[in-house]
Amino acid sequence: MLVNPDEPLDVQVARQARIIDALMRRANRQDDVRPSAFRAFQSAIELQEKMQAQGRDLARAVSELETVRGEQERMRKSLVAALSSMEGGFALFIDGKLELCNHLFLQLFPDISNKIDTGLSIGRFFARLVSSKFFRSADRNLATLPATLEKRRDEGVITSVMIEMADDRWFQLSAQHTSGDNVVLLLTEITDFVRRNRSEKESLIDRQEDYLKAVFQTLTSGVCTFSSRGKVLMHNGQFRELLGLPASYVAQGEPVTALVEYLFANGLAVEGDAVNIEAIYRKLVTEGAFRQRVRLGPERVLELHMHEMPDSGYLVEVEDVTLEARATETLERRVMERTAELTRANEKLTEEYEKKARVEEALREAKDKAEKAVSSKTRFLAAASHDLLQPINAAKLLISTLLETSRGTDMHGMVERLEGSFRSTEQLLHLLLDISRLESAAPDTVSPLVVNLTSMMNSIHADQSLVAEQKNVSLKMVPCSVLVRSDPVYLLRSIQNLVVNAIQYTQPGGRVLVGCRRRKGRVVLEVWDTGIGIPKRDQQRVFEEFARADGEKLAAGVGLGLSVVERACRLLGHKLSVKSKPGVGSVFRIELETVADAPAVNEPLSLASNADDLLENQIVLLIENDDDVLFGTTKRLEQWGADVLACRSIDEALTCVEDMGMAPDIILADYTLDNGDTGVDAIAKVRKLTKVHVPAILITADRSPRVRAAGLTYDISVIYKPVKLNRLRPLMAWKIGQQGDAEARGDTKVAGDSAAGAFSVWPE
Amino acid sequence: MKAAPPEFVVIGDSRAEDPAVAVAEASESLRGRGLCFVFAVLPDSLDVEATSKLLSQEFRGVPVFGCSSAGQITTDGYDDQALLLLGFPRKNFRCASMLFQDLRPDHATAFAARAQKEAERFRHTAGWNRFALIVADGLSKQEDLLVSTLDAVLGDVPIFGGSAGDGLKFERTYVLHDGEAHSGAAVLLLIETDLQFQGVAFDHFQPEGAQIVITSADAEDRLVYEINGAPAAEEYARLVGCAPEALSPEVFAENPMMLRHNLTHYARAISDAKPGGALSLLAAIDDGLILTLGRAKGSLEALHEGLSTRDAAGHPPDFILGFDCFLRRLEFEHKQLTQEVSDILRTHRVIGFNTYGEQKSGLHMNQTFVGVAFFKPEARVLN
Repeated sequence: MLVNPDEPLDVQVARQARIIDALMRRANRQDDVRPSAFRAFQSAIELQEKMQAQGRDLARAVSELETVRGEQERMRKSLVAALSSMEGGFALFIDGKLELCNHLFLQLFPDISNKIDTGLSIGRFFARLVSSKFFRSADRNLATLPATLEKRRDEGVITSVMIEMADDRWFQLSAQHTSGDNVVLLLTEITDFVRRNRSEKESLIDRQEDYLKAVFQTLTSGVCTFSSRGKVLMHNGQFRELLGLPASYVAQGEPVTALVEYLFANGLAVEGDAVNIEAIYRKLVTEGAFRQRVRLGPERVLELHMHEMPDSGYLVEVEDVTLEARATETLERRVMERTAELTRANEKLTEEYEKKARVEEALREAKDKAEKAVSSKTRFLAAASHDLLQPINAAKLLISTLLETSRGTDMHGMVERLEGSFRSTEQLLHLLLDISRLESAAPDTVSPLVVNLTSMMNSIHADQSLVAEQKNVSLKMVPCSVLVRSDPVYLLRSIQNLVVNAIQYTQPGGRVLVGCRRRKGRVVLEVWDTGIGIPKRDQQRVFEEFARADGEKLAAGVGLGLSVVERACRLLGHKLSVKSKPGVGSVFRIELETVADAPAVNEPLSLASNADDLLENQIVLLIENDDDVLFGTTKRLEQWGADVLACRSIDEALTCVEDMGMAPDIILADYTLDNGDTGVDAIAKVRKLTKVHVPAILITADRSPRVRAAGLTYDISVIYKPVKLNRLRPLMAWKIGQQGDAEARGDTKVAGDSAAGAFSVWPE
Repeated sequence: MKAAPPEFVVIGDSRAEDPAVAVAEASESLRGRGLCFVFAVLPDSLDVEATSKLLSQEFRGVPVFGCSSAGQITTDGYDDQALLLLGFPRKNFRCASMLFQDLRPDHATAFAARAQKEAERFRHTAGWNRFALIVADGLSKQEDLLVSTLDAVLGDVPIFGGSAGDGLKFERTYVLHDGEAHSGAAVLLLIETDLQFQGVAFDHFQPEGAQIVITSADAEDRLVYEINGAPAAEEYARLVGCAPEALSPEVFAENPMMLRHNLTHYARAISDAKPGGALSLLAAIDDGLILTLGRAKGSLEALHEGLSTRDAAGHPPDFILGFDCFLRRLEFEHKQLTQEVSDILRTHRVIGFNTYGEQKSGLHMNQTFVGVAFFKPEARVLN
């Protein structure tokens, strides 16, 4: 019936009309070929069905299977019926009220069976169960069970409770919310299971006890347990044996006090305090364990361990540690012996150490003495050289005068040789002086400054070209415009010595070449010669004092020269090296650090060659305390055309200047004057008197920095003795010329003012 | 007891509520497993766009396909909030994918042409077998036409698939293509595998109820306005024996309308009763059709039996990729059978999701279970 027959007839008719209409439309659309969702579906299912038709046999097989499945279902149903008829308590609650309760349930609780009626609420039902005298206990509170069930009603889980009943019977109560508000209770007896379980457990406990006893007996230490009241519970044979106890004392139930008394009576001794059983027991209770070493008789040592047991009884464990104790004693004795030995050894060592310290002290004193001796030697050498230089200076001045005057006479040749030998002596003395100064190694011996290598090389060339010419050796310098950091005096001396040495060892017709090579940040100054050369084995030795080439005649000033070079370079930090091949020649190299763009020391090297004229009619104030030198110098200056005021002291000089009524053109002063006065004082006083910054030159044999510093401060040129006249003359001319220029600029200053870097060192 | 995990698919899942956490947790077991592609099933509790973005970042280089769902079938059975990731190893699978956007009836031919071309281009590997997986927007109402067209052009390549869902919201469903989420679209995967596979499809309804004639319907929108000449919802309620206001997804789930064609009946599921008395259906419909009310019968047995498939050598499947109609699940839930069903699904190693419609070999259906059972490859004999 398609149309609802309950509708009024006219509605039914109208609906039927609509149904017919729809079916007609559908039938008419069968030939429509436009794509539509339903048509797609229809064609797809048609295809499917075609495939299905091919698989009819398969379908038949499936339907057979279907039959089998139906049979299975029937079997299941009968199984359910069988299960429900099985014995077990059963109660059903609908909407929380008891609906049904089977006989078995009531049978189990006969005393309350009349109180369980249909309609009883689930909470009361459980309360009554609990009140039954047949109910013993449950593993879950039955009073709260209904609430628990309520909470779990939607989870569909089963809540199980184990219940113990009278006569050792056990049940499992299962409760579950089924659909709606229904609760089903099932009571299943599990007594057999519980009992079996229990008996298994008990037999397990028995077995464990046997096992423990066996373990107990086989322990190597003696063990005995006591009850909390101090009665023997259990012991093993080892316990009795170790303590030598008669069996009666360790029978079960014997008091521990009797046992202890027996032990004390039979030679048990405790180290330290006397045994107080009460105290030991208290300690045991508070700390849970106790340990004590005791002696039994003269020989045996035992260790007692006591442990508290869970039932507040205790266990005593006895161990024989006699061997161990003995071993410990032996060990301790050995340690003591060894300690004594070590102490003795230590004392001996201390003694030796003190002795050594005394020797060290003596050595240090000796070293101090030696150092003092060396330094006094150096001072002596310096003083001696200075004193020797003084008369030589005087002699040289005289000889030079003599040389001029004897020109053209028979004497001239002799005087020339005399001059040469003096020159050699002077050179030797200089070298000695240098060596002694370098040897003293005072930190201020050398003072590195910025030095122009070109001018230095030029001046050496000027000095040595004559000597080279005399020996017929070609001397060539390749100037190199570079600034280096070095001590100007000692660098000059070093290069000069190398050149002199090269000329010395080069045969006539040979060549000497001086040049520079630039390296990164450094420059290497090289002195080449075509001399006799130095064999390999001697190349390092040449720098030692008095070393010289084999078979070479002693020549003036040689032997000390290279030694000075080596010492100076070492002090200045310049690398010095030599390369040589016998018969071919040698090259000596000094490696210097270059300086970029620093102002070089003002070196008055570009001197006017026509200095001669400049000294003409100049007033020279000469202050010199040595009569010979004063005389010689005066003569020489006068030969150069100067007017000389020769004075022997400051006072004399000041008097002369005062008499003259004007400032001299230049002052030449010896540094060392009588009565402790110095040339510096003299110059200062003259300048003060005349109120003119008179140019001044200090002549001295004292090469100490003190003098150089004074020169720097007071704008005084320093020239060392013995004075080389060919040097002195241009210097004087240059100084006077400078003064003229300064005056022209109007900035002549009185001594004491800053000398504005006009310091110059004047090497001879 | 949990069965040993399948050998030929890597499974990861997560119930985390934060997309980043869920992706990180679910992808953990898939890392470094040499995957060909990942099939992701998203629960409606996760934001689809954010999750798909995170997934594509996570599996850089391995394409991620998938869809939103109306429920998930994980290794523990039914689930509502699981992000389920299935990794198909490169060793056993090859894959080509197509995204069909803007599903419309007049686009079906173009889609089919593309699929045909792609299928021709997809290289054959000797000894490997082919099938196609399709996931489509479950609210697009285009699955019938799309699947039947594709089935026509793909020839002997069987097609299996499910329609995407969004819980029970019926608002917006998504398909995932290469890590991007699309609505109104479908994803077709051409897959080649060295595994043996079998299609599985079954339902548990018998056409035993009253007969119905649809007297007014909108075929395009799958809407039925009138049945038996009376307002659809009202008449349906009368026939299934419930008050019109008591109509619910559960009632629809248990009382599908079935369309008979020759000897077979096909369930036409009802998703909703619209205000005004129309019924909204989940499969193709037309007016003038005669339908029969279906009755559920032995659902658990049917499930167990349907899943008990064996390969030629009598071995059970390694895993079954399942597309299970959400209405079936509703019915199970209503009958409080969820746990039992989950147990059966787990025992038969089913993984997959609850759909808004199932596709098998050109057919779009409702209230069925469609699946692909995969078996260990046959041992190759070396000669």
